[in-house]
Amino acid sequence: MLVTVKCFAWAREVTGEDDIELDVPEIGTVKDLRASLAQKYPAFSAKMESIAVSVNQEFAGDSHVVSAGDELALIPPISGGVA
Amino acid sequence: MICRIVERPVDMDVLIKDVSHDDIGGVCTFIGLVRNHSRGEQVTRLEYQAYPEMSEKKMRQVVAEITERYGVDRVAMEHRIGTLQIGEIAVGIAAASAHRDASFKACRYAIDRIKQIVPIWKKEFGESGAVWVEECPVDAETP
Repeated sequence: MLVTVKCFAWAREVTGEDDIELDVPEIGTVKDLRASLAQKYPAFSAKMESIAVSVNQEFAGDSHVVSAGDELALIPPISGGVA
Repeated sequence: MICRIVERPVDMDVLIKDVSHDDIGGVCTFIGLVRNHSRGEQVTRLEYQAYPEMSEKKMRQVVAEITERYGVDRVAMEHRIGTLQIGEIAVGIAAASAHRDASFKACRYAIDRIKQIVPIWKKEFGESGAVWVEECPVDAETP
């Protein structure tokens, strides 16, 4: 199934889009979504560990199931700052 | 309580009024400013980007955590996005409690936690070009 994924900051510059479409299996997971992302945009491969994925506005681990209609986003490292 | 992403200047008076009440004895505020240097280089301006809906949800989570930890529920915060110049307010926080100690703790926790879990990014523009500041990789909470 095709899912829409929001892109921000570095991820938005790499894809050139605010939203991208990725193909994931019907009962796919965040891990499948990452594989699809790396295939379509190889630039993500080297930085994949630093990119978080959110599902319905919550951070989601790789085993989290992705369903049609979920709100998905790629979350590059946030800007933090020195305390 | 105010928890929002704004595209106009942060107004601290509004945040202070939002948390003030007859049973409040202390309001602690934090103001995050755009600084003119970063990692030894001059910064000329910053561009902030957010995932607004998730940011506001995570800000409300920060307030809930503060309430649980310190018993303080009067916490207001605004984070500005877009292009900001040196000296402008990027983030404002006001925390209020009956006695001062809890308001200091709440305010400190708020800014530290915002920088950990609220999806906001900043791009620094300086002498050697522009760079996304990436200091805090988010650890996914594995189910």
